[in-house]
Amino acid sequence: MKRMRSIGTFIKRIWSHKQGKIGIVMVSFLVFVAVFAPLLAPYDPYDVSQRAAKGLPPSRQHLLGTSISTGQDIFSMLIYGTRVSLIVGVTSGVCIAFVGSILGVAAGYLGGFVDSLIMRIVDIMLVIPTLPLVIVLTNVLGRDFWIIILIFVALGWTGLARTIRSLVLVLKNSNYVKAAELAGAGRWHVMVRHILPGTSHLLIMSTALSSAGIMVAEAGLSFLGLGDPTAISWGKMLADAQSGGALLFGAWWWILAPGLGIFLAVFSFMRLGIVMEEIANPRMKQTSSVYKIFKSLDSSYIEEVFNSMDDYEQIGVIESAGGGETHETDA
Amino acid sequence: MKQMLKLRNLKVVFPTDYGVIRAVESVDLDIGDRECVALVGESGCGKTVTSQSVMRLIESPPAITRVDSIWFDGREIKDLSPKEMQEIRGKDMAMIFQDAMTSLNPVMTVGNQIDEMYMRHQGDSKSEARKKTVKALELIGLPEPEARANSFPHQLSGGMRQRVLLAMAFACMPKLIIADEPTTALDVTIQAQVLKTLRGMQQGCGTALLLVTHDLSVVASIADTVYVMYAGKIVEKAPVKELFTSPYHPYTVGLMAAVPRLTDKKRKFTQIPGTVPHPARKPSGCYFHPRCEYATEQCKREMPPLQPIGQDREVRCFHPLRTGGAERE
Repeated sequence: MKRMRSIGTFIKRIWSHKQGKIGIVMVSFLVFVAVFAPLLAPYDPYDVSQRAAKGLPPSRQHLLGTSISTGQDIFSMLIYGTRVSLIVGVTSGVCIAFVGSILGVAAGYLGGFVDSLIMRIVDIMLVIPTLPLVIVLTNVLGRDFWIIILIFVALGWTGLARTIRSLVLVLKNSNYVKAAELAGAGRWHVMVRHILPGTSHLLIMSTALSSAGIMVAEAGLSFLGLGDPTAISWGKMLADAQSGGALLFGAWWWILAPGLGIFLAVFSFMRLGIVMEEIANPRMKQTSSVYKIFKSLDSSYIEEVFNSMDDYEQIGVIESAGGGETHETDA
Repeated sequence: MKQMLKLRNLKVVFPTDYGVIRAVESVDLDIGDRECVALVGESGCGKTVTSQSVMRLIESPPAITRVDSIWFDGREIKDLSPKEMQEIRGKDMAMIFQDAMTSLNPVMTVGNQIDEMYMRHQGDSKSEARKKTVKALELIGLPEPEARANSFPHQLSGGMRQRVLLAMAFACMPKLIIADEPTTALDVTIQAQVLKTLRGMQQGCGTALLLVTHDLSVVASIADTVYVMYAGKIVEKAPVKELFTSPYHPYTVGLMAAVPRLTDKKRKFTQIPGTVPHPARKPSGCYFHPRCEYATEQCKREMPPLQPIGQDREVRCFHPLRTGGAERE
């Protein structure tokens, strides 16, 4: 109940932030498009049999034109592409936060063997060149959608775990954690109740930002032909446009549409992440709210406050002891 | 007596979500040459804001400051540019903070930190500066000053760190030193030593000192003149001896009565009833009236002015206590 309310106020605070509002609106729009893609798309994006409709420029019939090679409707493909981008991005982002926080907290709090084991794995993962590894993994494991998510998570948790671990090392030495331990709290209790909430601002922000990052990475993989060949994604649309000679034939719509899609998705998640960080990190919030208060200040009210501070005798009776020059207060 | 600092009509407010916090309300402050002035009051009464305003360290935002005059060492400094102000800070005015551990850079030796003062303000070379640093450390009573100059702050004890801060503040022979609770973080014996050093240095160098504190024993041991602040206003100003023998304002009386004394075993020490008003919701009339046992109808309606009473004394009260108030209880 209490937790529900705090999540509610959190969302409310994002909403009250101008940038946050943009982020929420754009992300919910993307989710809406992804969920209702079959209803929104005017054509079947998988339909490659429309020979007559090859390479049409944007028109009433095809809002964003059609592809040159197969005559697929670009607008419908764009809508379906949202699904892949969102699912891959958000699922990987959440999973990375989950895995990264568990391993980071465990390494930082438990220390010793657990710490060195996890950190050695992280060290090894960080020096392996990512792209060749992804090529090998996709070839061995297959190019299924979920396998790609798995690869992203397997490669993505290391950085977060490192950051969380260093934060936990600081929190571990704080007096409230020591107090909890001295009060007889178990390791699990301390980790879940006292350490993990302390890392929440990092987790929230990293989820949003890594989701955005993975959307770009997924588009990159698909562009290189390493994505799921059966799914329509923005990256694959770009790859098709490249191989289908979109630039050669001046089919700008074929390249512009997926590019815009990627940009919008990444932009909205980044916005949301930055705003959430600002809210979760009180120091950033404070400065921004102070400036907000200053902007909305009523100068005549402040003047009134200043004037009310004068001793009444000094205003009324000038020849009183304190000195009469105190009149010129409004500079 | 020559005036070193004349602060006139200082007002500082902090606009917040909960309303306008009136931190300092029309404070006048006079510090004579070589004088030690103490600013006493409870937490949150505005004494730190006042002292930092003298050095123009209070930034806007978050604060809005209005002041008629900050007259320092023969000139007006309230309209100086930040750059000109920076020239004055450290050279003519210096500050000693409460917490020596956080005021010193943990990754620099204390010697290097004091050297910087000489190099920045007196244009000394590194070796000249180091000679002066060692001398300064010797002067404030650190044993083995050459070795200590190469120590890092964490290698020194609390008292030693506070002494290093003193050396740094006195480095360029400033005309005014503002010490904001300089001994609060120290235990009582070290506190006495540091205060003695501070007083000695102040008199030896001929520096004016503004001492901000809530500790009356500190005030009694080194101050010449005392300003008592309550809820953003000066409520009493008096030479230190007179303040301790015959306080006029009921708040001052209450403060004195709250100090335990070794000599008087029978007397219970009392506390002032109630708490300090929230700075955004101060009471009407005299800010002290809800806690004052002598309050009358007039006190509830009007703010009493700060009136001269006797010689060199001022009190903000309609009913100042004429006799030795500490023995009243």
